[in-house]
Amino acid sequence: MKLSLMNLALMNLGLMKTITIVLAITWATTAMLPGQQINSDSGVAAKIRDLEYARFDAQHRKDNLALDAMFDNALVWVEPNGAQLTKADYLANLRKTGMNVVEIGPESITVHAHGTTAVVVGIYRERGVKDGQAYVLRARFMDTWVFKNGRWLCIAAAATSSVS
Amino acid sequence: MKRSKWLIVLVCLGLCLSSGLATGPVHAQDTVDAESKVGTLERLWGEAAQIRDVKALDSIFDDSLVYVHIDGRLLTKAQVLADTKEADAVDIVVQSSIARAHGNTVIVSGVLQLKGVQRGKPYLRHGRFIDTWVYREGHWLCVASMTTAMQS
Repeated sequence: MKLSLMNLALMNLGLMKTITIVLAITWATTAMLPGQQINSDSGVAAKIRDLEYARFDAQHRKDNLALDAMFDNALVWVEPNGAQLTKADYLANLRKTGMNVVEIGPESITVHAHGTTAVVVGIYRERGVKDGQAYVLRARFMDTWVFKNGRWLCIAAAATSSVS
Repeated sequence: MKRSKWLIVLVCLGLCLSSGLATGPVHAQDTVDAESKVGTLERLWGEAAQIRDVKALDSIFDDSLVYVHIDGRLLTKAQVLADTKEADAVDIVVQSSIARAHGNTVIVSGVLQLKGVQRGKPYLRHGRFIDTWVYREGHWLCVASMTTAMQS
């Protein structure tokens, strides 16, 4: 009887150890998860910067497929003249004949990371031909990106031709 | 005994995974609640700007706020607050606005009208705005705001 009681106590001790170890792993894993997903703010800034360059490049190439993948379906887009477009409107406009972007690219980009949200402000230059007329544009822009379903998506983008 | 150990391991791993998912890229509150709260804060912002309540604006804006004014100026939070104090009286009317939640982020877009007098001359301007709000430590804070002048 004494022996079986001792055995029981040892078994319980082993059980307690197991529970303690598993709980420690549980705590450590859950504490790490959000950090693993979004990395550090500097990592986020570098990632978003790359995405912005890729976005301008896709605009230049009229690559709707690439832009479709970068933009959230609920994207709010504001043109430098104040017109608001949905994602579908924007992608359709890009393909319009009579519009030829010869050059477009950022002059400056600053990323402000807030965990799973990043705000980008900068200035871009654009040169092209619209309805037979050559144009040059220098605009200030602001984009908002969110980390959703394992990737960064642009949810809002606005620009203004007033740069003071 | 071995079986019960494995059972405990499996239960704990299940708990681990479910809690991991719950604390992942999460919704701080449900979407409707977030949009409603931010909508209320947007109205408070409008009222505070109207009466130049810098203290109220200070609590609405994140310290790292980036703000693009309708005239194209890029301002910090301190500059926006100073601008609010010093600027001539302006009548701000939000003509339309819509909030859209994306987890811990809410985007508010809309149209506003600015009416005032600058250097003795009256003006009326319309702008399209986009505000970005982030949920942090139990509060919604505006981290970015941009207004684009609408060309008629």
